[in-house]
Amino acid sequence: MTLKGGATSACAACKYQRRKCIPECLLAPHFPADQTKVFQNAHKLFGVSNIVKILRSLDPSQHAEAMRSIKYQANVRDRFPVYGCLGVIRQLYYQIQLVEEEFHAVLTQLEMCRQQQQRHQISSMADYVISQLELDMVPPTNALPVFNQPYSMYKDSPKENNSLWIQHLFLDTNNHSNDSPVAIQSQLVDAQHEVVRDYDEIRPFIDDEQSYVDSKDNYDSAS
Amino acid sequence: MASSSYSNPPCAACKCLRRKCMPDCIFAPYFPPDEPQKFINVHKIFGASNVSKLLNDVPPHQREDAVNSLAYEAEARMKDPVYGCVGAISVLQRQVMRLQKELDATNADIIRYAYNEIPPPQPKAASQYGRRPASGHGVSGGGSFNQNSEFYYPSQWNNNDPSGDDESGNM
Repeated sequence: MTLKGGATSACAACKYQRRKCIPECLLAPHFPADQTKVFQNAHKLFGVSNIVKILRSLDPSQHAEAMRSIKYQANVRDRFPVYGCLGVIRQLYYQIQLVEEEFHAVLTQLEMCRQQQQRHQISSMADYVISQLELDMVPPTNALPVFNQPYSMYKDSPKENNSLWIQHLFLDTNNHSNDSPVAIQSQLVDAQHEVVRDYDEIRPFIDDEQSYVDSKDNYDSAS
Repeated sequence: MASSSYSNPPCAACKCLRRKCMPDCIFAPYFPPDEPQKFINVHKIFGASNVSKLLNDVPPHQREDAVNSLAYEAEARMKDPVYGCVGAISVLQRQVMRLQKELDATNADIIRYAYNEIPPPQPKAASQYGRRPASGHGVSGGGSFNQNSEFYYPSQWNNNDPSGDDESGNM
């Protein structure tokens, strides 16, 4: 419906209701005339009067965000008439579970890689040290040194210091505090705590292990 | 409201609406009289006539699930009138992204070890899990972060929007 003078056309809400779209129309900023489908979805789920009721209970600064969430919820319900947003939430929970399982598996593999690398390094250095010790006990040969390590660094060092150097190597490779599995896992725990804090406010009716029918028990305890 | 001695008690919906609960009442199986708050929330947010129309559009064997999801959304909207249950979606979506990032970083570490001299051991490979497809029930991998909002809205509605509306769902 076009106003006299042809200034602006009615919003989708007023067009649907076949009424004059006044300048103070609460829904006009959120339902432009070209978004009839979005309005129809919102109208089908909430109804115009309920949407207006929600907006009137909020501060005007919150209207935009509230309308976004209402439109999103209505669109999801149109697409998935049975489960709506609850189905989206359930799918996200499932995704999180899968990613966490994969993450733990990868962490385990990473730890095994690190341990194997440490063992390899220790055995390499041990072999090197032993070869040096053997060189002291056997006549010198023309064999080239096995490792391109700083040979001269250890050639003349006392034998007691060799074991200390190996121990230092082992300890040093453990001190990767930034990316250790413990550090990463503590971040994951913090993330879970953050989710728990959020979900203390909204108790979901369903989790991955329960059917929707069983979730009635949860609702009973909630109500 | 007349009732015979053998009639069932009115369901929570008909009690709230102060009308006679007929034998074919569409609400009766899903709003028992001992759960009045469930219908009160749903009626307050969505309205009884809207719920009735929604239930009529859904096959009978799925109506209980539909009612439970509506009841959940109604309670969420009553507790948080601005975001409702969409707030929970936003939080979960961010968590998925964060976990995926950490997984990618850890996989990169594994690759670094793989290119060192030591071949990595051969346990159950992480590749059996593969990349989690960010699809499914309305949740796609992309998302639009609205600079005006601290909430993150998944842009699933943009992917296969049959209506062609530009703004729908992209918040």
